[in-house]
Amino acid sequence: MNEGATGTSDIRLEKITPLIRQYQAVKRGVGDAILFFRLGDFYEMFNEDAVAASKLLGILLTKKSAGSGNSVPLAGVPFHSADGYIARLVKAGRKVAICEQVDDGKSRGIMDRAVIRIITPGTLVEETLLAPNVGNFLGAAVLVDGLVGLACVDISTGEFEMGQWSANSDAFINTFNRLPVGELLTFDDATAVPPAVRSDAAPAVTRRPVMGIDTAREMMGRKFGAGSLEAAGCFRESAALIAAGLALSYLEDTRSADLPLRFPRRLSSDAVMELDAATIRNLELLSSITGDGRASLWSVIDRAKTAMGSRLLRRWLLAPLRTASDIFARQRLVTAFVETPDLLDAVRDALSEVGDLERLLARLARPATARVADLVTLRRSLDALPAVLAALAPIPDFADVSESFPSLNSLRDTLHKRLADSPSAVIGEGNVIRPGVHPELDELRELLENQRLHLLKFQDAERARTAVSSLKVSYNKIYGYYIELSKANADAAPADYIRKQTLVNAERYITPELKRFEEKLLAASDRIASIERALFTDLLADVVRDTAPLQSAAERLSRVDALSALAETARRENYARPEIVDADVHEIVDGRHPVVERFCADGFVPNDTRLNSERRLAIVTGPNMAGKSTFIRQTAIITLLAQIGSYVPAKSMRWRPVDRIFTRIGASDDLSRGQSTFFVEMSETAAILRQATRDSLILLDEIGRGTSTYDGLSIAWAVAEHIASSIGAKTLFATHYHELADLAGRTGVHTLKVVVREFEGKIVFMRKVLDGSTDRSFGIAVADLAGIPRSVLDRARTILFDLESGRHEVARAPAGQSDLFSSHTEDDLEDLKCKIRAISINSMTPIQAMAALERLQKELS
Amino acid sequence: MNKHVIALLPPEVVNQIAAGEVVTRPAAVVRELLDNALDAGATDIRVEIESGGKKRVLVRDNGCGMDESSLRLSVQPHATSKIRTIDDLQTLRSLGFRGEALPSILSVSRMEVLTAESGATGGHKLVGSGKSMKVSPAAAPPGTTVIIRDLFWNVPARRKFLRSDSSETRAITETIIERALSHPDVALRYVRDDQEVFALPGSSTLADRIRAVFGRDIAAACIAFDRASPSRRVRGFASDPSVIKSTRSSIYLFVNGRRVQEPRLMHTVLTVYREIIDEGFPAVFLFLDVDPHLVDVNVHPAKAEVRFSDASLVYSFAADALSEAIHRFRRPEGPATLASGSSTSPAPLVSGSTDPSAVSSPTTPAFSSMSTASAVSPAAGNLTPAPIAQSIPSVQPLFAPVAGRYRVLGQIYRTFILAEDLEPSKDGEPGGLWIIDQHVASERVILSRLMERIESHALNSQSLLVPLVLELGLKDSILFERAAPPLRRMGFEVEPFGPRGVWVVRAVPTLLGRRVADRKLFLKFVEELGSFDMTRRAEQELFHDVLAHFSCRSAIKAGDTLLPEEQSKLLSDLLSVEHFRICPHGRPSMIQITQDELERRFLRK
Repeated sequence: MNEGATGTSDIRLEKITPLIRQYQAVKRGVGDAILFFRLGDFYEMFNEDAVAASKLLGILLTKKSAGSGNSVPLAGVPFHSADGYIARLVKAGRKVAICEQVDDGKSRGIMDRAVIRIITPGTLVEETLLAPNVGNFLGAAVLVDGLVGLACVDISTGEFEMGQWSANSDAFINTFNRLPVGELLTFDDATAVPPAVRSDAAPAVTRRPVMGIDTAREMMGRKFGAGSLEAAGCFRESAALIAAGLALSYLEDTRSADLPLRFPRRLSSDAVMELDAATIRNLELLSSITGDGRASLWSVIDRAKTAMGSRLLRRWLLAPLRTASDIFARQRLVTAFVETPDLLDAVRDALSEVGDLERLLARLARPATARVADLVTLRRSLDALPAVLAALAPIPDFADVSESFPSLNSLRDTLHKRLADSPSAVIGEGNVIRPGVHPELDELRELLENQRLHLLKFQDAERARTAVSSLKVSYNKIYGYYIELSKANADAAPADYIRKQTLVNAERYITPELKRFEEKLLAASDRIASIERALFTDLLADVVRDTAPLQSAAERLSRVDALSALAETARRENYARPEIVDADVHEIVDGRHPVVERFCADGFVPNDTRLNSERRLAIVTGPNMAGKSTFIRQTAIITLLAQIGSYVPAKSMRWRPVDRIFTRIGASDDLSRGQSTFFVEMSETAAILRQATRDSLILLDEIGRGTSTYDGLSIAWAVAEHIASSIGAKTLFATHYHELADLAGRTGVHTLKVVVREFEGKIVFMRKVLDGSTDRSFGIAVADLAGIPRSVLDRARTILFDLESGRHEVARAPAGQSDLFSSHTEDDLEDLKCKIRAISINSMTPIQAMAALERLQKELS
Repeated sequence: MNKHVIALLPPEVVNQIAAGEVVTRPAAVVRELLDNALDAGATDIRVEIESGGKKRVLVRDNGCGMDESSLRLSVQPHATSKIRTIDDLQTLRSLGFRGEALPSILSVSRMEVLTAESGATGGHKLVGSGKSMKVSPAAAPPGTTVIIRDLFWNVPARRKFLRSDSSETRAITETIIERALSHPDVALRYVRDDQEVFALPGSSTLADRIRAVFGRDIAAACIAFDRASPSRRVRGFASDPSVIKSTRSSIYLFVNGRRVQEPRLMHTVLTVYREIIDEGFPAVFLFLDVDPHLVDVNVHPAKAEVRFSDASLVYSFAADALSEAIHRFRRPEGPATLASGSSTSPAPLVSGSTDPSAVSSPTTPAFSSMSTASAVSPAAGNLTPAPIAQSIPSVQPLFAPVAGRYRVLGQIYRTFILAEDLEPSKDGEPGGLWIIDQHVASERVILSRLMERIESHALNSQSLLVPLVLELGLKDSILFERAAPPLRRMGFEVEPFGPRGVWVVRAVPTLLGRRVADRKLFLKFVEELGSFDMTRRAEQELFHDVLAHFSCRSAIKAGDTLLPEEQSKLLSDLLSVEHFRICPHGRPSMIQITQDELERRFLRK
């Protein structure tokens, strides 16, 4: 006796029911996706899918007969509540394939079925599965001839971006890390999955068979038109092209190929500033270090009224602009809004009626995901358009937006004409299409009405005929319409009553006339359903015809929304317009940290940042907790805001745009990745030294903390010197090593201190940053504040005195460094070996290689 | 100690006494602190309050701040930076000057002041309560922050006198709004119990502020005016006749930047408006700037009263400017403006002091026929009750008073029933005027009766001649199924009647009547069902909601004309029911206006 628990392989083929055979055929085509097989009002899963689903969803696992005494495991969910279950499976990392019945039930034998959709983490369009203000990309990464190609597609919005870099390059890693990739495709023979993937948001990886460049080229040509692709130069980069082809083939397999995609854009870092993962985390752009989304820069500036505006704003935040002209162009538009507050309010009011056009378009493009609710939202959004455009019209800077706005009036009229005012959510009941649109539909609806009344008249007639006033004509699913007489009156049943069901208190009958009525009704019902479905499909086709203007409208609206959000933040939070200058300065007057100032109960103390050609590197000293970190973070964040075109939380700002912002802040240990704090610190610092230029902004907080004092101080010193003399980037270097202040006076180096006072024996933080340096470490004073007992502190002070008086005088020429390294120990040599190994020759220019060699030599001597 | 010896009062007691005048309630504290902030030249002020200001008040500004010695002095009585000699009072343009605020407040609260001058390397903090205080260095942004906690913690008698949190909050909000209007260039943020009430950006105009605080509609209906003469200027916004408020709380009068309660000025404004609106009040934002030598502001610590040395000139100046502005407004449809006044109108049907239409608040569209109103009183300044069609009371035959006590006077707006309470109150005062909401009353009656019948199993159902067929669709059908048991308990007969979610209603509770056998009503009901959390609701709760829904829908509606007998019946039905004062949704079914209140409104008291 075979209880087919895991498979039906030991059941002889000819004995399986046709249904199960159909199931097996479909299942073979969907691989490891959980197959939702539509049977009546349920989606059912069999075999290993059933077991998995039962565990993951907490639903009952039962059996279904598979023919000749065999049975297979079965689990099922009702059709109309399937969304929630699908969401849970997707969140658990599983793919879900939806298989529907495809004909209208009139065929002989079992119905035809086909997979209409495979839902994977990278191909989501449903509202319930997507966070509204973040995009969701399907990424494809391939390694070809030492180059890594990356293609990213967001089918929920239509974005398509591709690019290629040399393998292991920082540019690739940074670009990858700033895109919200939900699922990554790679070849199944490749070993390369990008290493520096953010650990908290590692996408699901799907392996696919290898694809060659010709196939890729053909797929791309089919989708976008070979001619235009050629013209745009997309065929020149083979790695990128193959990645794009890989993405497209996956879309085809998941039945998402017909979704509208925009023409591919190049993922390049030229016009935008790369932000590495560490910087995004350290500056708490998207979430605070503790993971709290509310204490992030994003939560402060996201005031967009539409989800698509929100997503655009987030992209802008992660891709600040580099050139003065780009920044100025965007800033000008923000200013236009700030200066006309009543129009700004009017635009925002109008925008609140506009829905997420991007995503609803993606859903409406396929019957499998199209919903009536989306059509209603689309209509409402189109209704709101005139108000948006009217509010923009008086603003000269937005003239081009309102003038060249695509006309969607005919689509709006169509939707008003054909879609009922409050349509029901389900198609097929006759409530979706407006009366007056389809004569036959209206007739049938009326007929249905009439038939029902007719049926009630029939009831009256039968009551008269049988003289039983309690006779009822009723309905249930099993018998359809029937006549019910109580047991007491059962003898009054005329001859033509056919008994169908006996109950405790009643008898139920049918008559031929009754059944005729029923057939007419059902026929009408069915016909209504099919007409309505056809009309709905027509309506969808009309919408899809206007995809291009709709996408264009969505793009413009999201831009207006994002700009209005920046303007609103500027107004509400009292931000100032930063001034772009040519001179080599970076000045912020009375700058404030936009996130901290929100949560600061005692009021945020503003501070200035002044860097220019004479003052390039600032060593910021002062005890911990005094505000050094906040100060340097705020400088970075204010600069970033300025470079996305926004106003800034300061009294004023003048700066020359920087090409990169580098940060090395905080001590969040990556112990989970098996690396010590110090190593991470050094890796991040190394990355900075490798990539920074004279036009960059560098922020370093406590280099050298994770190791012994002398080592730490030395490394910190050397790094500071190197930046000051070789790189020349504007830098804020916060450190608890007040000895570093001795570097001041060297070209471009100056010191800042966080003001601290003592009052009645206690330390008071003033939170002001001024020129000058602290002359001592306040560690003991801070320990006092923290509650360390008096006796321990007194002893500490004594030890400190001893140490300080017997110490090396570090403030000599750099040659003095050699004293520290004079004894080469085993560890040092190991260290050196690691360093040599860590050099990636492939990604260095010859000059960089020479510099590295020089550094190594210095270490040896 | 010999209690007849005269001795100097200790300073803190002096302060507490002075506090009695200055610090009367949290709103006064907020007022003083805001004025200080504005005088310090702030461009950004933040106000936070908790529990109506009784628990905490915070005012933070970015003004000039104080150095350490100034901080110490600020809490000494009679110390101020704003005047030095008595002559300064004459040229006073600042808002706070008496030097009593901070020390007074300190004496009756726990206070913290954080301040720093701009450009200083640090600030100072003052912490004090009652009579003690301590100053220490502290981090502070440029400007001053004052935090007042536990107002009147040491004066329990005062604490008891404070009103409810919401009352005090209202007063505070009003104070803030006043300053929002008088200083549109200053950014103002107001947080109440951790909720941001508004964040008004700086560098705004008065128009921006009116729009932000009072809404787009009022702002759109406002007309600007601005008139200047060598010694005075009046400017601001006044609403057009489309705005009718039930109280004068939207009339803001400012003299030299400070809001005043000047009865004669108010009277002037209202007089001007009587020319164009007959009842009700406008929204006016009027700013009068006069030479400080010609006005005395030292009249009252709350600084709300003023005396003009050339009062009548000032008033007529203001009246002219206002009048000219509002008459610039031309109504699109109204034929009758002050100029024409040629159309006739029916004379009032009922006159006399018991005319109900004189006491009702004209906030409803019943007053849209403005033209009639103004034509009746071509001369300015008459408050004639105008006959508006819907408010004509029906002529009453004398019915016996309902429940022996209420004399039904009539129906107004086809929404309310008016009745006079013939029974005097406990103190011998005459019973007042009762206004009954006919819909709420009817709903209450139906619901109670239904409940009674259900509980005593005496429910009757009425079969429908034409059963009602509902096409609900699958999803809604499932919801409806859950609601079916309560419906049946109420006396409905509902059953499935077809595939794809078709149901039929065969009978309805007799009590509700055929009104309720309406497709739209049921569809609406199903819609509302969708928003209930059906899975968790206890049967009983669901039952009550269903009951309430249908009672409401089958009750007499606002807008239904009721015959006098019907009015009496409704009232008597209502009184016979338990809990007759509130409807199931919590709204009142009847409100009372005492004779006292009436007389006060007519300024008879």
